[in-house]
Amino acid sequence: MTETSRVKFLKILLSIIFLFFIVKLYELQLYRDVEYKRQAEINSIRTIQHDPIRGLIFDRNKKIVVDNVPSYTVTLTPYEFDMKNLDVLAKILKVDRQYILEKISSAPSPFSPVKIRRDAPVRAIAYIEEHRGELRGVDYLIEHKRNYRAPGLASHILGYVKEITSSQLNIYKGLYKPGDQIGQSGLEKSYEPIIKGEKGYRFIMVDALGRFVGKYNDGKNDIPPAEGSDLILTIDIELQAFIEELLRDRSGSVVVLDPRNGEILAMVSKPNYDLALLSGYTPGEVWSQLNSDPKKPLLNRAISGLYSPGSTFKMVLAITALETGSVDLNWKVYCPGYFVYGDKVFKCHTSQGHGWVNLTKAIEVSCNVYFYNLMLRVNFDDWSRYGGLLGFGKKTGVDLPEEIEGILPSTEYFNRVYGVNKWTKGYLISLAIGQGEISTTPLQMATYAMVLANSGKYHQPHLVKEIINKKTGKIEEVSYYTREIPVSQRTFDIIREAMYLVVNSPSGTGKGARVEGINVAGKTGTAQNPHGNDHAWFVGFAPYENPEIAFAIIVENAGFGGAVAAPIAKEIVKKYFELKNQRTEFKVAKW
Amino acid sequence: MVRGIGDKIDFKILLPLLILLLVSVLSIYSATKLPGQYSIFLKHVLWIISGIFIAVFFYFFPVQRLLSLSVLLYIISLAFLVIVIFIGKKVSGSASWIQIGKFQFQPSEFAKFTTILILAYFLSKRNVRADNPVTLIVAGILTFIPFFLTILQPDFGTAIVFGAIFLGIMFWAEVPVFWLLLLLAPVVLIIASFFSIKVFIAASILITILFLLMRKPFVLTFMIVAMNLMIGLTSEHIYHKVLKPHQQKRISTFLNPAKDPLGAGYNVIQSKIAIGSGGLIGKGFMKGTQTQLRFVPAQWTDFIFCVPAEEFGFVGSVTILLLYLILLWRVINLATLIKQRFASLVAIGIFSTWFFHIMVNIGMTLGLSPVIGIWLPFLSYGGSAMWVNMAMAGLLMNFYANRRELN
Repeated sequence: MTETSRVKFLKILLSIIFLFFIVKLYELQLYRDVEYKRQAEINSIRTIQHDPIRGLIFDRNKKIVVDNVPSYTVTLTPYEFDMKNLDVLAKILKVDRQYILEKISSAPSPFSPVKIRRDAPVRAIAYIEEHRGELRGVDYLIEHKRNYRAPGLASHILGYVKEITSSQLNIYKGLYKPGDQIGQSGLEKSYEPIIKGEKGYRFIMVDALGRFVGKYNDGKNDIPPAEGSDLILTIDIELQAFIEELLRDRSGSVVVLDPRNGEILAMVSKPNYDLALLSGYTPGEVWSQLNSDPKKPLLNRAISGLYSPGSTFKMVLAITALETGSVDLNWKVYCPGYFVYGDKVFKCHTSQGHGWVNLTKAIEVSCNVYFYNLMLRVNFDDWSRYGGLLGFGKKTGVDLPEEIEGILPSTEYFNRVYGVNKWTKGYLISLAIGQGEISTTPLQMATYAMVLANSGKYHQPHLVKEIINKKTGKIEEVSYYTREIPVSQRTFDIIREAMYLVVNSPSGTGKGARVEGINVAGKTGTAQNPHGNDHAWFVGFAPYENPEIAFAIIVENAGFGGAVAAPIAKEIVKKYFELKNQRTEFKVAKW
Repeated sequence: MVRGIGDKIDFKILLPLLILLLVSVLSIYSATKLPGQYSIFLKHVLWIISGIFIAVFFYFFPVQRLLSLSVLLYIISLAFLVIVIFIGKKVSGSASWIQIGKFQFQPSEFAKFTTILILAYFLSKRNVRADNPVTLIVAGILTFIPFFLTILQPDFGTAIVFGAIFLGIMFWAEVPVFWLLLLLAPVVLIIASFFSIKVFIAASILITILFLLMRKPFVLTFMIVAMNLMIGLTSEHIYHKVLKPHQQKRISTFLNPAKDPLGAGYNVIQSKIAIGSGGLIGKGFMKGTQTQLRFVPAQWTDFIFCVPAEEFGFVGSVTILLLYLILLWRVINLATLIKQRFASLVAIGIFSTWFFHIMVNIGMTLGLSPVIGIWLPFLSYGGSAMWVNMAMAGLLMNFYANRRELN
């Protein structure tokens, strides 16, 4: 090789290598720079999420029902954590190792901390503080958890807040991150977007070891968390507590609302559960116990419990008959205590019979035979139509997520279920007395009582009265719909008078609801229950002249409505006016 | 006879050198901004200033004196390499430093310089013939001693530099390329066999072609190629069948750091992020987040290139590459310009050292070559390296100034 060719060789080698470098630099810095810039940002700028404080919940008299208390959340950075400390950690956190391992595996990266235990015991925090050296990667932060001023009270209305599940994460992609809290039921769920507030973010710069180096851009990009809005409920927590106490350990539901505006004053579902059990960390066994309890404490019977309305439904038939002109008050039926249709015998609730009864009397004494006959005189579809107008078979639109609509049968419904011409009029006879293929929720029954109390005015029932916007500081009223039910005043007058007699006449079935000094009107019902004893119903309103409350009461497996549910109505009416008077006196005294 | 200053001073070396030193000062200033690290920057400036004196010293040092001192300097440097094995100060696993008071000194850097001198001295002797196999063997032994002593420290990265120096000088000294190829081929094949079967096949084909180009008798070529393939395949077999998984992992992450993103690969990943995120014009001086937040380890020594690449972007990094290219190009030309064999060989030895360092160091930061802890000439922090490099630069300018006398 000559000198010239050696020089050439070296220069070509040099050029090739440098060209190679420039191509690589082009690739890194010009072609893929966006990707690397993003990585550099992730690398050096850590985003620290600050959970907002959830809004408070007040009752209608501005009493705090739900607020927040600080709680410790233990976090773990998988990369730094030494797995041999797993058992110690599981022990101090009072969870099993599998629980921690699952949380660790949900970590988006080994370098970012995951929340492994909410609501950690204070002793665990003390231990972590004392053993920082050994428990590398384990840290804690202060978060907030829901605090219930009266544990166990109104649990179904309020609902619980829990860590978001993976299926929810899929639905709310982008809005929530793993480890976030979310309202899972009740008002916490339906008002989640309002009550949750907005997350805040701090951007800090960290070095390669994740150590804090400084604020990013002097904190100019930081977003402070925004507190969630407060809810002012329509619930009177004292009335609620009173009714819950009244039902004690019976299963059932009570809904009390203000017929003048649809505000729900109390909504009780029994049995209930202690929300504090579900706030913060809930051990698996508590969960499974609640879920497998045959009494279904998690079920909000007021809106998700389906029952036959029983005799309380007789007014629907009466309204249909009066409005369509099928009968008038002079039309009478002789009740021998039973009714024969084809080869079937339908019983009245007293075997000796009611004798000759007209519509008013039939309601007062709850005569089944009258209504069996009446059912055959009205058009079935008219009955369905009036039932629908009175709010059956569809959701009331209450501001809770779990509401279901129940069943109000119609020709179309029967055709669908049994096939055209596969069912007979005999199917309709039980419907006359609210039995058979019909189901309602206690809330629907309460709104039914409201419509009767109001002579046709229907207000959307609701639990939230006002929202206090924490950002603007303003109180926002929530608007609800109102509709007029196209039924004549005369018809309502007849029905209302009959309901007055139910409670106040000597032969009325609802005498148990009578209150000294206040005229109560109502209707009893006894719903046959294929699974056991009958359910006792009572729907009504008070005062008769100028109703302030309308209510529906059901006690499961308790027998006759007049015997069990009516006395509860009495207590509720008494309590309502007692509380009302107390508050007026208090206001006067304050003046 | 009046000649301009350009006759005495080689601006094609001086200018890129001065600019690189400036880039170095800026980069190290940026990389050591945190409190407590300011002393690193100050020391670096001190190395550069003292380095300039060393460069000036070698600029004026008579080349003939140096030639006659070559053997002595070589022996002294070997003595230091032996001493360091016994009393060396351990820095990240290898004992390559001798501490004298506050002063630290790295004998292997000094040895690079003296190995260049001894090889140049030996090959420029009148009775040494380049095409004599004995020459190759003696030169090989002269290189192997410092190589081996450096391996013992153990500092594998620095040790390989001796191999690069040897190859460069041998090539320039007109040792038959065939011989060099015989030496190099098995090394290349062994390394290639560790990568993947594809790389190994590609390397085998390349080496076969090179041997065919030598136009030796076919039977000889065939035997050599067969031997080489056998060595390559054996090492592959040893790698996969004999080595334990952790030993395999050590080799594979050395060759391909991306496989170990939390260990050795971490540096390369971070370095690529730093460089890539620089974009076209960079994030601005002292504004490189990866640099400022210490994401790249050994930032001011082995990964210094990331700093200007992140803060001055593609424009900055290509500028640095061009400065190196000018410098290296000039050294090749200088080696042809000087007719005296010793000086010319020394120049090529210096070229080999710098070229190898730049190739491996920048290649490493770009994720192209294995992570070997070696400096980037004039940019990296480090006293011994700075002094040796300055000495080399001074010597090159000395050759240029005396090019007419060195005949």
